[in-house]
Amino acid sequence: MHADVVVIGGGSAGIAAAISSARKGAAVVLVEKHGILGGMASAAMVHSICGLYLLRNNESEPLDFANDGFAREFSETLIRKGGARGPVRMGRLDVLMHNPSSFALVAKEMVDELSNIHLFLNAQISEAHKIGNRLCSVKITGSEECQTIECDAVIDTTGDAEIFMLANAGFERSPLETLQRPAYIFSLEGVAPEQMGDNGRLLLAQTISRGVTSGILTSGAMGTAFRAGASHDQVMVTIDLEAQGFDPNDKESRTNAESEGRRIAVQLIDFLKCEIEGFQEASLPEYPSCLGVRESRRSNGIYQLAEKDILEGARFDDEVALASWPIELRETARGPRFRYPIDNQPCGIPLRSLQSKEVENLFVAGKCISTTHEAQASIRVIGTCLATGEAAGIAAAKMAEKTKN
Amino acid sequence: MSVPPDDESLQLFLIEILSSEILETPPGFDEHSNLFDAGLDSLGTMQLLVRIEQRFGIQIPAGKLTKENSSTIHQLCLLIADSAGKEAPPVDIRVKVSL
Repeated sequence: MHADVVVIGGGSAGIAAAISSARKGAAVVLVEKHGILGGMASAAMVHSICGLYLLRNNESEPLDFANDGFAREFSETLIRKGGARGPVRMGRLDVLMHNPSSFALVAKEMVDELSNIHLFLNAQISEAHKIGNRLCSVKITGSEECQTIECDAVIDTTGDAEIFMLANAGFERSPLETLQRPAYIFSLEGVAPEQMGDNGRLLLAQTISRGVTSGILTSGAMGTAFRAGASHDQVMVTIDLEAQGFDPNDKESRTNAESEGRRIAVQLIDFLKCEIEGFQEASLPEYPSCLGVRESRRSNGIYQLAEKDILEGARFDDEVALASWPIELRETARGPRFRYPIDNQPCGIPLRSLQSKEVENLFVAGKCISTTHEAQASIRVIGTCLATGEAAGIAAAKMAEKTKN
Repeated sequence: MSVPPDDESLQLFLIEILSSEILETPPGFDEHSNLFDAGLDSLGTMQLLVRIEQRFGIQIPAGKLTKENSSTIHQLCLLIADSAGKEAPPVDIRVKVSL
């Protein structure tokens, strides 16, 4: 089998890359390890699209999209189909709340509209073959025999820089103790809507902290945050996990962290149903099919985007997307630490940050583009992943076209 | 219940905890700055409440904490002073919590 462009990873960046490449006429293969598209935004139940809008000083200023193009198109389609609510103002930030299942469905519908995308679900890449400094094929594994796909360009949207690892294209990883903490996210139905108001959430914070200090709840419950979901009666619960020594690239470590998240979640649900009136009718907890991983390997690109770039709102001649989310450090499970750019200015993302330094036809998009640890804490959000995915998809299609000619 | 600290030391303690452990506080952040605008969320609030209880043995009674009366360090200090000396109700466990 031959593809002009192979996209590996069907999360936000991957669907944007595959669709944008296909719209440019490329024959695309999209490979996703889960049974649904959406990645973190569906399987891990991340439920807000951050980085979709430019920062603004206050609510009276107009709200503009950070990136027109696919990020805007996708979010507007989600809203139109009833799968998202917003924009919602949270402190100094504006986000779009989405329903994880709707995200997956809309992504699938958009992929299905394009006959030149061949989708493989429940599949992964086991090998990447190079000739000189170019990737020439990748091997897909599923439940059946391996299949080799010859290709002109490859886009790594795995979130883990998996293809950079397989192709010896170079990557970095933060020390485990400073790696952004993973999150375990689940939803509940039947919670009284007023419970998600400002004061309802303060009462939750107070009750949980008292549950922890009195020893009824495990200290891991201190990493819990609540938000109203995309639909009115759905509450999304995010538990930032301390997960000591968590290694996103180790299956045993991921399993332990998921077990820790589930244990805290089950205990917390019982506790809240007993302690808070608005939770007495809470039911149907829906658990994620994977952990929310914020940071993993970061690829080595031609240009490494740095904290200074984000904070100073750097702009580049070859920029292909804008990063508009502040640096959101979650190095502990005690809540985010935000660093905002000067004058709320967005930062340009150069195409060079989406291009491998070592392998000519290897691109990257999403949370593992070429950045430092700090800059990654800005560009990892879904809105920015949609935008870098689109940019990498277009660049890879152009390269494949050039190769053919 | 321990004796409430004087306002100034409580304010300094809260600013120190916020700046060193909870928030990236902007320059000029003081006891009258809005905590929620500075990024305090429910996780940060929980950290703060636990640290207040650990340090001073004071619990703000459930339901007394509102966005309107706890948006600055100054307001929080008033709430804490008001809660000091009053016995906070224990967590009411109506059903055994399963693990």
